[in-house]
Amino acid sequence: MTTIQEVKARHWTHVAADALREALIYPLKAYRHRYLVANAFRRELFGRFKGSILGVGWVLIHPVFLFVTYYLVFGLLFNMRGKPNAPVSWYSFYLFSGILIWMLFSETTLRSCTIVVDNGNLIQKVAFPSELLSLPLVLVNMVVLGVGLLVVYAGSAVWALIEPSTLAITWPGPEFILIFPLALEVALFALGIGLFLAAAHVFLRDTLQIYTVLLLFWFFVSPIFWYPDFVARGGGADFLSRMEEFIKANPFYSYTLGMRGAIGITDHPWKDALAGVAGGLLPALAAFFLGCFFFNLLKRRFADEV
Amino acid sequence: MKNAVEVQGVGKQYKIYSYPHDRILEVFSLGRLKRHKSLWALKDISLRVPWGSALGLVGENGAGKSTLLKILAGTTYPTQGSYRIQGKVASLLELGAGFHADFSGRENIYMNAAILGFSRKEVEKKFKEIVEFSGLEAFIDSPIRTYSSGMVMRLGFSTAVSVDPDVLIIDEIFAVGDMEFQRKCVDKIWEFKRRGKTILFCSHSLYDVRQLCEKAIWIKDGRIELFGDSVDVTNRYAEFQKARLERDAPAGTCDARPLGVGGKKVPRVEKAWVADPLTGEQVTQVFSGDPVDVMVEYVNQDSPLDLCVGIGFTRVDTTLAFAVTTEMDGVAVGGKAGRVTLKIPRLNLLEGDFVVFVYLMDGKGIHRYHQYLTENNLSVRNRVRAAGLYPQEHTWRVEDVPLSTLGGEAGGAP
Repeated sequence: MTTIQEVKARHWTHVAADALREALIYPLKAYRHRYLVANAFRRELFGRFKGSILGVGWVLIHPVFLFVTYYLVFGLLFNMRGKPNAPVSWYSFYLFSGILIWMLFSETTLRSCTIVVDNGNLIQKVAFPSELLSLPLVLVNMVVLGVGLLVVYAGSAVWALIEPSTLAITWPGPEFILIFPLALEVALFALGIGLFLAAAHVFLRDTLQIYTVLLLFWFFVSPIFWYPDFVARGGGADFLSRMEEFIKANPFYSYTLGMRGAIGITDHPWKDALAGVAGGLLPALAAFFLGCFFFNLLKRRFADEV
Repeated sequence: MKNAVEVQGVGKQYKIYSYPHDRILEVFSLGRLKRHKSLWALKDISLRVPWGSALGLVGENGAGKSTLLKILAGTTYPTQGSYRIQGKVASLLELGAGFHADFSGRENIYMNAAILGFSRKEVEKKFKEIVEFSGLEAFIDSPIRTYSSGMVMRLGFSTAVSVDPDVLIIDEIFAVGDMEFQRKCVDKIWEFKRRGKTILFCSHSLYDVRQLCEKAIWIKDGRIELFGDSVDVTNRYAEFQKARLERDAPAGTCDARPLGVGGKKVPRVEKAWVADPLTGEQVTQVFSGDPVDVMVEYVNQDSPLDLCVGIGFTRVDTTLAFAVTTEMDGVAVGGKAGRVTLKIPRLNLLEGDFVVFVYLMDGKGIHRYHQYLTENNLSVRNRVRAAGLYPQEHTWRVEDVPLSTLGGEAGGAP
């Protein structure tokens, strides 16, 4: 009837086997501790804006201003089109959608990097599943993504009233359904890398700095504000064909492609959305599993190091 | 399994790196380089705690008590050995885990409880009880930023003890909040004991350990120095502490703080006891109203400073009955060694057990050099019938009063 808890000093091979098992049952663990996750989620979402007048309203206001700024600067001021013969608004949607999916990843991983160290006191004093600390971060950023998508469609509705001829998108098409598996993939990818960083940061406090630099690089090599065809169409030089491989090896090539397909701003929305989801599946699962494994491998030593 | 807790050969090693890059060098050398100092915080700890018993842990700071409790609470892991715990474990190592100042007391209880492993159903069931115990009903929806630190601790304690564990791990009794709440905390821990829960209790208060625990272990330098009856173990430990204090007073225990002047010895109390003023002999039991002397012998070898001696009586439930210092009464104390006697012509205390404590302080009565507890408690017996702390001087008057006068007075008629 009563539970017996047995803890042993273990050889590292056993620790590795445990970590493997723990990585596999992560979803189960999250479900078992759903009350903790739900509370931490609420805290993460509301805590950020606690005490401000608009509160959670800021989640909406940030993307609206971002979107308006992009349109004013890139659309009207620079008159950027992104690709030939695209309507004026196209580039704003292109850029904004790329940023949205990127932010789900970057915001989650940056916060996740310090999450174990920040909660050091908790980890030293209370026995609880620390691998679940990163989960609420992903969930909150998924909410932010959802709000961002609302802004995309609200933006297009306003646009339709002003200048229908320049409009790039209207209402969500059937391909929009693919946004769900896509967001889930990016979330898993972010969670995996976030867990890896969180564990690494406990032992090497330079991790956050290294990662911040890498993240900036990653942002610029991902097709977020540029259009991949421009680069690939380089004129046959060997160097540039390699460049194409490099660009496509980046999981964010798939994720941005899928995102833009799903909201219907590419030439072949269905095809692109499917390609994005298909291409992003393996990196997502691999990152999640390896990150989770790495975290659990080192978890036993956190309390001694934070 | 008839033991609630079984610990088998547990050891804990910490690796101390001087510089952050030492760790990286070690990892990349694949074990060929050794750049850390190893520190065994615990070694070969084996113990059994039967169901429903309380085990006390005593030892000096850094002896490994807290490490052992942390291992048993499951926050850190042993490097060697193993342990088994049967039943639900709760620890009072941390109060208010995960509290956030901007959230209300209510929201913080939810979060704290979730971290402690509650499910939604359990929290909803216990919530009222938690708030009632904390006595913070009126503030429960205000952000805890507006709470006093005592109130925050009360909230944390209330949530932590609502877990209803089979095994309770305590690092010092959390005497938090005001006096009334402190009583509630102590009562709650005693209630756990009465209900047959297993308790692991670590404290510097040997008195508390003796009171709460049947058995105790003394941990010294990471090993079990002594295991046995809590009275024996605490006595032996107290003797050891005293001997050590005499040997190297400047290093001392936490109560004897060095002055900060190199090599100088800190003033300390050699001995203190309660004596019968007529015979001069030590007493442990007196009657209310008896005369008593409290004698204090001190040494002040290297610091030719003015001193102040404070003497107090505390009832065992931690109520301070009386305390006075030589500084308060304008009595000068000094010299290299001396004896101070507090002469009490009539001990105006009612029945109870009292701890007699002595503080040796600087001449202004601010800095404490040494805190000393007399070896035996002073047990006071009543001669008169009365209850409480002290025999208040009093008389009674009883009169017959006509009913009409009473009514008139109550009505406030002119």
